[in-house]
Amino acid sequence: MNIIKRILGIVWMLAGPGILFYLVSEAIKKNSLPTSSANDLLQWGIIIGIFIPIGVGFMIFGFYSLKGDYDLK
Amino acid sequence: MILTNTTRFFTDGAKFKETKTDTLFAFNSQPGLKPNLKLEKLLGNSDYWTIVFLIFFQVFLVTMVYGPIAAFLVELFPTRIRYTSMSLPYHIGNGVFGGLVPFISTLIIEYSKTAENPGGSPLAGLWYPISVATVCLIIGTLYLSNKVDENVKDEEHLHHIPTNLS
Repeated sequence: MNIIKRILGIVWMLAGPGILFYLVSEAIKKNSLPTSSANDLLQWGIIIGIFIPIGVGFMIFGFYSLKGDYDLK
Repeated sequence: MILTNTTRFFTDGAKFKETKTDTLFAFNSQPGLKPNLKLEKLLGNSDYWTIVFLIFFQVFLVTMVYGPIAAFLVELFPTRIRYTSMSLPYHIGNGVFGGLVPFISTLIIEYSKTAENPGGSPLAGLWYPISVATVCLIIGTLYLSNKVDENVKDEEHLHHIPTNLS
């Protein structure tokens, strides 16, 4: 079980920046369309603004998980 | 003044009533007012009770979550860091993930629009809460232990406080 937790730690560490990269690339793609409006920019801004700390938190969680802080003694 | 009442009865017991009030003036030079529309929609008896049951079932699920959540969150952390540690994940869970549901669900419905299905799938937005719940299930099952903290008084921490104050 401890090994699974540590291996999944790598998954969480990669998932955080992965989600952020996906969101930012989609936001750039959608906002560069000729049909995009200020409303699109606002919505994507809110979504990315909220997901940045969540992504960073996911990375920190993954780091401690990989370090073995959640291992059962 | 012209008053038109249209009532439609459907085979499933639903009723639709439309009342239209149109005001016209005797002089052609004066334009008529915009017609006033009043719509009444009534569900059939069986559909009404089905919806009451479905909402009751959702309320029932919410109470199943809210009941144990307070006790569980209190026991999750050591005593001296309890409040901050409870408050932060609780409000992130409720406010951020819950508050973003309308935004992101609408966005996912936009993504589900294709050339074959230009209306998009109305239920596609559910993938967001489902995926958040799945991640919570995996993390909760693997990382949270159900062991009760035996050292509730944080005695290790209290040892540093001088006891011979007299």
